[in-house]
Amino acid sequence: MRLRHPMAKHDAKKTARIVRSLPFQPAAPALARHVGSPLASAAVEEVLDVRNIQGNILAGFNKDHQALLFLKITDAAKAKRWLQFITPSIATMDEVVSFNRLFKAMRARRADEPCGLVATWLNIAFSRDAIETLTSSAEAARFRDEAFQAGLPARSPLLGDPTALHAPGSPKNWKFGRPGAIPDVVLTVASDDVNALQEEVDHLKTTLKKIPGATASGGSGLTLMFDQRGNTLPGALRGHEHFGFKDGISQPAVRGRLSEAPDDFLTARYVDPADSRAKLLSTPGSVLVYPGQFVFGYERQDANGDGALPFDPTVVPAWAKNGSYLVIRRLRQDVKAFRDAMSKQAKRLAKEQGFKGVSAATLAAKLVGRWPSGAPVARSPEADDEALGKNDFANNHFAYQDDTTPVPLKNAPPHRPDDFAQSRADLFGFSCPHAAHVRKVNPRDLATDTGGAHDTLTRRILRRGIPYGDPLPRTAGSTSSANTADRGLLFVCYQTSIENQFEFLTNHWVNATAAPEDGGFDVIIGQNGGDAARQRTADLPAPIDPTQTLTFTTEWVVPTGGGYFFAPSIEALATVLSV
Amino acid sequence: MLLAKFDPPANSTDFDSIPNQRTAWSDTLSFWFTGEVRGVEQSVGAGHSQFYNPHTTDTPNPSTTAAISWTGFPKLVTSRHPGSHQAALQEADALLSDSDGPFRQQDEYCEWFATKVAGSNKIARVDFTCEGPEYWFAMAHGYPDSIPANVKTANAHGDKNKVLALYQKLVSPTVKMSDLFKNGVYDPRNKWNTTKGAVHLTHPANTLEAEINIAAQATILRARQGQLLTDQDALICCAGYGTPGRASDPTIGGRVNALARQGASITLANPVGLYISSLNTTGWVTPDGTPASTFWTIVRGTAGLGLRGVFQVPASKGYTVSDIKIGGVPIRFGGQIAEHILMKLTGVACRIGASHNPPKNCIPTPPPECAGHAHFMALHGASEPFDAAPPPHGKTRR
Repeated sequence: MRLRHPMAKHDAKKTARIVRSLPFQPAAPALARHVGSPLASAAVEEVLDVRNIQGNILAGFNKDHQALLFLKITDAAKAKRWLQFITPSIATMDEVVSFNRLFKAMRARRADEPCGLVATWLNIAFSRDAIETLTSSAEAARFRDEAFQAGLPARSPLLGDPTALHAPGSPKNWKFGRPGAIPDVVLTVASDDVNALQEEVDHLKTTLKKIPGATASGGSGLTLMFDQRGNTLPGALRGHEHFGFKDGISQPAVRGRLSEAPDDFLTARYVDPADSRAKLLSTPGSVLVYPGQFVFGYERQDANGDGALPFDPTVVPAWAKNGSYLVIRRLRQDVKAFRDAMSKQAKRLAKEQGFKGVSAATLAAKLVGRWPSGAPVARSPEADDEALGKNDFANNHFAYQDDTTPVPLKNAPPHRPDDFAQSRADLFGFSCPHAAHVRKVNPRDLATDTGGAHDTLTRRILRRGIPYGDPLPRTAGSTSSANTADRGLLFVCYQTSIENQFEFLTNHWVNATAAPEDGGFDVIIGQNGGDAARQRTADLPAPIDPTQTLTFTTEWVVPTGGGYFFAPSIEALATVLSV
Repeated sequence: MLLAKFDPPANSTDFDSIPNQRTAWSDTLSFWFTGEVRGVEQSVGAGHSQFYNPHTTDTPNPSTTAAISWTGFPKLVTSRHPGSHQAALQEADALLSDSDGPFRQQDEYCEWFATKVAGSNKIARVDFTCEGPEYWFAMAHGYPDSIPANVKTANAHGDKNKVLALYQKLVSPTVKMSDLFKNGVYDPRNKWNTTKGAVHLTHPANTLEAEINIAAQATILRARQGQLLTDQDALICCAGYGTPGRASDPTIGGRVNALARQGASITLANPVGLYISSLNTTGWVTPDGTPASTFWTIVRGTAGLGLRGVFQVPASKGYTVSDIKIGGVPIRFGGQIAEHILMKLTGVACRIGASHNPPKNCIPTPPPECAGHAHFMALHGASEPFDAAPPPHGKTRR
């Protein structure tokens, strides 16, 4: 399946007239639904406007190849015509969900990835200044998120980014998103096939030079500022990030239905309705979150209970409904520095009581909170367990405050039963340290500095990142030029409050020593902007022996680009931003 | 071993110059702890309280401490303004009033007062305090006003001049004795602690006794409809030991109850107090590049056990607090700083696994804030059935 730009087939001369006179029409419904487990009580969940919400937000492109094209508006009137031209090409949630379901169903039937099933998707988002350019300063001011208003370069110090002029991580040295050079528009192009991706990118670049069918002279009113590619890592590292850990396992399970059908859920429900937890979980460990945390116009998560709060229409203009804030961070990963630091610290630690013989791999897993396979340390404290890491009905089912118990399932697709050891209460962090990355960014059942476990649900983000650059082979010598190659993660996330979600997670938890629990930084991704030496510490407690505090001065994650954007609905694109 | 005596918060030395005052303070704390143990025993039975008085009950080895932290800005105010950060900041600075006089609605055990530059809206300094009013009443009269006569055996009578001197040092040299005392009795809501400054906590729920009460009540295991409660929001609604929706109360209660579920005996670490743990100034931008952290001083207490902190730019710098930006936004409210303050108390757990108390039913009438909060089941952990038991008795922090 290759989804091509529909306008490409039209007569060029007619196109410009059509796009100017065409009233907004929602897209036709895509493929028929495959419904999940029935759950009568869930009929109250809101129906999502699936033909109006961009596809990458709630459904996720999940493609092996992506391009982020950052654009500058040079002529607003022309840019609007280009937006009119491009709007029909924007992938809807309806289409992406349908494709993802088809892909999943075929993969389950074949027990292998379906060959030749390819889609190439396009999504779009705008900076605050772009919205002002395309609408008015008053409209732009109606986005109440202070972070979005200020933009990423101004907020970068809050995230712990370096501020020294010479520092590679300083916004002034970023590859895109530098102060004074903030992209207005970002296009996300994603495909299962790298050639198809290139074809689509080439096509888009051509349209930037001249809008197909446009009668006006000159270009599109937009210029390309930066073309950033991302690819999933090859071979056994597929689905992993550059440090070698499986990524993206724990995503929020978003509530909401795709149609009026009572059980046509965006996130399938597989917990046996006879178990009281069926109202809260999609699968074991995946807590359901109200969609208003990620898309405007829907119920939000109550920070103090299981229920929902209504959409607050004062936070964004009315036309922002079905839209979402998009955060992009280009994070360079120094894999050699990470490996060296783990080896050095493990060597020291291995001599201490309570940590005898600890390896670099075990130390890294402790600091991540998962093993490379994705198996949670909370369920497998001593060694990696690939079967656990692979099992989507087990690898997210763990907690820190209390022991977990098995969750009965109903109508779940075929999978290995969760016969792995359950996670045990770990209040003091003996198995999974308080500083572990996964415990820092999602403290699950723990009370935190801002409230209980429901409050934590309001902090969650939908991550849509992808690695960039080639992996560093384990066999690379210490002097290999591969060590210094540019590689890392294109961190991408959606939310309805940049301040209270992405920035909160980074500033209040990742880069803090005493929150959400006392015990040090998230040293995997954290930065210490409050210390000239940028030193980070992490505590490793032991049941009987003294806690060991690890100190790191080398940084292995360096921001090298990024921006704050707003991904509008298809309707807003057609009726507000392009007119 | 037994705790020989309770020390003043952060081991403050104010009481050292007042005859018998340290003994009186220790007796006060011990009275409160014992009272809370009795309160818990009303629910769990005599001799079964998991909360204990370390002055009268042994803390054996091994024991472990656990810092419990929360953010200083009032979460309830934030929740009232989901669409406007500025409106929340503005409201948090406004005083409320009751029959005892004005008080701050900063109910996370962290209160502040912003002093403006004369003739300007710019902030010159912000004073933060987390000192309980009981301490200051004791400094004035020997004991907090709630302590019964039979406990007052240390022959301590406080020192009003000491109170005055500290007010003059902390707020203004123009403070007079008559400003602080009405008919000879210390007035915690006096103008120098409300409209003209902040010396100690004023919100009715912000007391040291309330901290001890929450810690004690939270040691009682709870069940609803036969299921053990583990969720922090469910627990506070079930037990009613504080106000749901705050950052502090559900967190303190949730953390303590999690230790209690492990069968631990629990108390608070000496010196018992509510503390400013840290101020995170990461990313704050000053006009001349001076790290904002250099403008933060703990003026009472110690680093990590702060009782009073002041954020002020020295006059020599030529700019004010309001010229500093947090995330590109100038500081116009004290609350912008409070959002980056971490508060804490420290619990002690011992005899882990030794207690096997059955859970108790919820109080008959949950706090009004719980209305409409559905379900409250364990989001991640177990939901285990238990037999029903009679409802407990306990105070509330409102």
